[in-house]
Amino acid sequence: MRFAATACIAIAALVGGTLLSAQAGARTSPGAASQGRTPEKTAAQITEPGRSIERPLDLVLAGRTNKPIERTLMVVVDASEGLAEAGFADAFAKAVIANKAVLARTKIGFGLVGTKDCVVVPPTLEHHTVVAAVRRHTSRGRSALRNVYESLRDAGAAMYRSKGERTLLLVTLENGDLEDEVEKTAQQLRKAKIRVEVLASETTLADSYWQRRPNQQKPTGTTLFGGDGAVVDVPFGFLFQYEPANEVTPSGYAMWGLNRLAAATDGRVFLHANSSQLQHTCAFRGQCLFCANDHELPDAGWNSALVTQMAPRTGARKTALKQLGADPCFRLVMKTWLSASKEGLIQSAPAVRVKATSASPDRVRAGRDLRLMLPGNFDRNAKRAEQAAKKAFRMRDQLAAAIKNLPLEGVSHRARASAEYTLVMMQLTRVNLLTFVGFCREWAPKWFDERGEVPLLPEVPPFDRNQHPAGIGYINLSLCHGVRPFYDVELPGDEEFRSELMKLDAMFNSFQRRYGKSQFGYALRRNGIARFYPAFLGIVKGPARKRPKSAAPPKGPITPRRPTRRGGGSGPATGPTTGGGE
Amino acid sequence: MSMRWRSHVLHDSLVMASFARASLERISVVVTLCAWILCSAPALAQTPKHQSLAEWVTQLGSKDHRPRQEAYRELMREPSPRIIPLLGEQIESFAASSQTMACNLLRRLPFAQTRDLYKRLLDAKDPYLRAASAARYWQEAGSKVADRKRPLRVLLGALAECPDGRKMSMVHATSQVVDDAVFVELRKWLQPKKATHIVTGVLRELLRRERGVSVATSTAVKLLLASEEPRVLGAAHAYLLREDEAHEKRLAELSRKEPAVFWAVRDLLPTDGQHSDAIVSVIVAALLAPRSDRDVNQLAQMLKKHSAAPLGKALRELIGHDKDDIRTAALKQLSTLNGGLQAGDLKELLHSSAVIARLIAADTMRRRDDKSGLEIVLAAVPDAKKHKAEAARVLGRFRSRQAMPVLLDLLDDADEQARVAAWQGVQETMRSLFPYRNFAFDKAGYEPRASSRAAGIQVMRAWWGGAK
Repeated sequence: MRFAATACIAIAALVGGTLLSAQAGARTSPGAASQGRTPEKTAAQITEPGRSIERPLDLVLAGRTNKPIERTLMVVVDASEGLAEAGFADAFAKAVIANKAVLARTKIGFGLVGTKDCVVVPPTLEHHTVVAAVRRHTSRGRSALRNVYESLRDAGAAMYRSKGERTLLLVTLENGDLEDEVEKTAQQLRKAKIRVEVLASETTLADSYWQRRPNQQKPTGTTLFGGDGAVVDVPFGFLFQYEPANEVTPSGYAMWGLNRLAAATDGRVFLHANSSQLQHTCAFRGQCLFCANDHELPDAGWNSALVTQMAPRTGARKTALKQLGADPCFRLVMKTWLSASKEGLIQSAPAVRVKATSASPDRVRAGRDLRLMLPGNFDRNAKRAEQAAKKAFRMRDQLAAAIKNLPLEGVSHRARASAEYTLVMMQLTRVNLLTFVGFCREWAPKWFDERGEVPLLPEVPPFDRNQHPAGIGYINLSLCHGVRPFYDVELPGDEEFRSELMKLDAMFNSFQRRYGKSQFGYALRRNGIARFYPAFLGIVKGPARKRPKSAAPPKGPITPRRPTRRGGGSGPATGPTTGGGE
Repeated sequence: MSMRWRSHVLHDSLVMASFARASLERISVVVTLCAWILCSAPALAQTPKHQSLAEWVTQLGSKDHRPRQEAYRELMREPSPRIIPLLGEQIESFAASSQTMACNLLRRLPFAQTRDLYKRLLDAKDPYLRAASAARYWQEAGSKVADRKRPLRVLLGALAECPDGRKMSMVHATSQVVDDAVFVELRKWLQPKKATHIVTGVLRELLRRERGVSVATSTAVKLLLASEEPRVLGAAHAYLLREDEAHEKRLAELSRKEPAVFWAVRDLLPTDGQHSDAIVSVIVAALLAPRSDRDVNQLAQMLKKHSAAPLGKALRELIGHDKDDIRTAALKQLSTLNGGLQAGDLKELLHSSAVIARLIAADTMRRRDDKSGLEIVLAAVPDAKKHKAEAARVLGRFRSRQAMPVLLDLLDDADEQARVAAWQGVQETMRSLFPYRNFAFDKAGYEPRASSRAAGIQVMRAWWGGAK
């Protein structure tokens, strides 16, 4: 099937008109045009403002000329729960009626991701049949891992005979992260003069979700990567951070694979978010000590200029790695990340290996385990944490010095932001290690001392003193309100901890002055100060074994279900958003 | 002395006073007072607490609103299965409103216990009782079509017989029934000459039960366009605007001419908040002429999501309203609006002469991570008077050590609401400031509604003294 699609698109490239390149010519440099390449854009250049579903449909259906010219528009939809809830079918029907005059000579087709050959209704001038098919197939959906890239290749093949301008509208709120030969797909569609317009959900900043779950079941031949850039270029998995900020920080852009397709074919990316996604939450899996879910984030409205500065590139992954390898700041971040992971300060290692002047993909690895959360000897844990805190102190100073010495040229804004973010995070890790030391030395022994004092009411002992802890757990107290409010909070730790907390406050404020109102400022607020607690063994009941209803094995492959994810880019209802596309 | 007893005594005293004025002008006030005391004595002895369940049920059937309502509240507090036979004896002889209350009480009880009574009521003379019982049977039948047949037949018969005065009670009693045959009966009530509240009520229910517009209801509603009653006409436009945008303009024109139209149909407008400019202008006009603070809150919610700019403008105008509660509601809504109150406005409000304005400004600033309003709130607490509860609420949200002594003082305030808010604030503040400590506030011995609170306050003060 893939071979057939490729062949069809190749033929289309030969017989197709030059309309698209003529239109794209205004944006394409002469050199790039003569070589058949489009100049590399950033995600900011191809991402349209707004988060509604109506505007993209209106713009795409009206076409770029807004005139009733001969066109073919193939709408490829990845039906999901989120799309059904967003009322896509109604919005599409309304847009078709509103643009009736402009669509007079436009053949519209409909394709469904996950069906054989993708095309459900071939391009036709009878638009009502398409509207009916869209309604039938998108009014309900199931979250599953589906290969949109394969469907795009199939849909592209169905368009090769069509005359005039060719546009393919891909609507997917979930599946842009299931990559399948992205570059090949982009090339085929570009050669067939098919412009890809994308309506997708916003992903997170350097999303680490799939990198942390390398064993996720997925369709054969595909890879899972959901970040906004070609690689994960912001460190994640800092010690004592329960959930990486990379998985809950809106990036302002769609997933790299979708951006790549749109950029390679001179298309655009539209983002969609529902109203529940626009609500602010101080902590996703942590706790906020300072508000009752009524926080008005000072940088809720993002600075579009800053967000644009931090936009990832949309070039091919190979090109991106080449460029990143030449960026001294990126190299510095990767080196720091690697050494921090070896010291156990970061629980992940970079999936990019930097050499003298280049970068290449590397396998996914975990960082060193400092074995701080083991039960039994709190004093031993405290000593280990003290050593780690010293290392964090040293690495923070080394990184600060290296950032100061960075050359002014050849450093991207994004890489610099990533480096400075890493610097503040090293300080936060040090603060967390020091409070852990305090917890192990002051609080935990007091709680388990049988001769200890009984607290005054209304305070009561947190647990039975005869119980034996099976380990140490933690949650994060969100930094959404900044560091200063923690001055009033009773936290374990000595004078050194207090002074480091004040340093963290200064660094946090300095970082927010520079990167507040951008994805990096927001990311820093998604981290937190750890609150530790002794963990006890509970009664754990394993999940019930799934048995097939009949003895016969299931026929054919089963599409893997997409795991539910909070605040992530791939979830249907709680994906991130920058709040209006600013 | 309970509130109920107090209201009895007050009522009796008023009766006695008027009696004294009318007939015994020359008799001294002392004699009147003596008479009052003598008349009140039986009331004191007969405190309603001692009334039996049977007496409450009998009182539920009263033709007077006040005792009926009192009995309803009392029985609703903890619906007991013992009322089932008592209601069974009397429900058919009850007046309409008492029957409605009795059915509400029965709905709170498990179906298994009320089944027999419902079964008997399926053959009752009164259509409302038949409908309420049939609806409950229908609901319990679940997806079993066979079990639904009889209740549905009874229900349809009752709906067809229902007099106009009971139509809305009937609609509410059958609110769980989602069935096309019932919708057909309900649609028959959509007539141009029917009372406005029936038309709007039925439309609201149909919108809910049919999950939006339906072709059949649309067809029925189009007949209402012939009505001469503006509110019925408005209701028709409010329903039909989902299909045809032209109705938005017509509704807007109608509401401009007759403001009562908007108040009648506001619940029929789409709840997604995406209104056209014409409808937004109508809502804004209504917002600028609110009847109470509840109107301000409701209309602000309608505009908040998609029309924040005109909402902000209207709320700003309302800050200068004559009525205090409307000013306060407008200010509160403005403070929750994104960008509703700018830094300059907040500074101005923070030094306003009105306590509530200062409290709202300080709270809004706190939400934006600016705690400079804390001192203002602390200073405002002694003069807060009727806003003391709000002051305690705002203070509690600061989660500040500085606020704790004042919150502890407020635990013994004369205003019960202030005590409740302060107790809430104390708990939240302590949990936030001491995340490693475990509190059992129910063991502190403090209850804000209790008459003796000193011991609990002592416990809290002792702990705070040691911890700070």
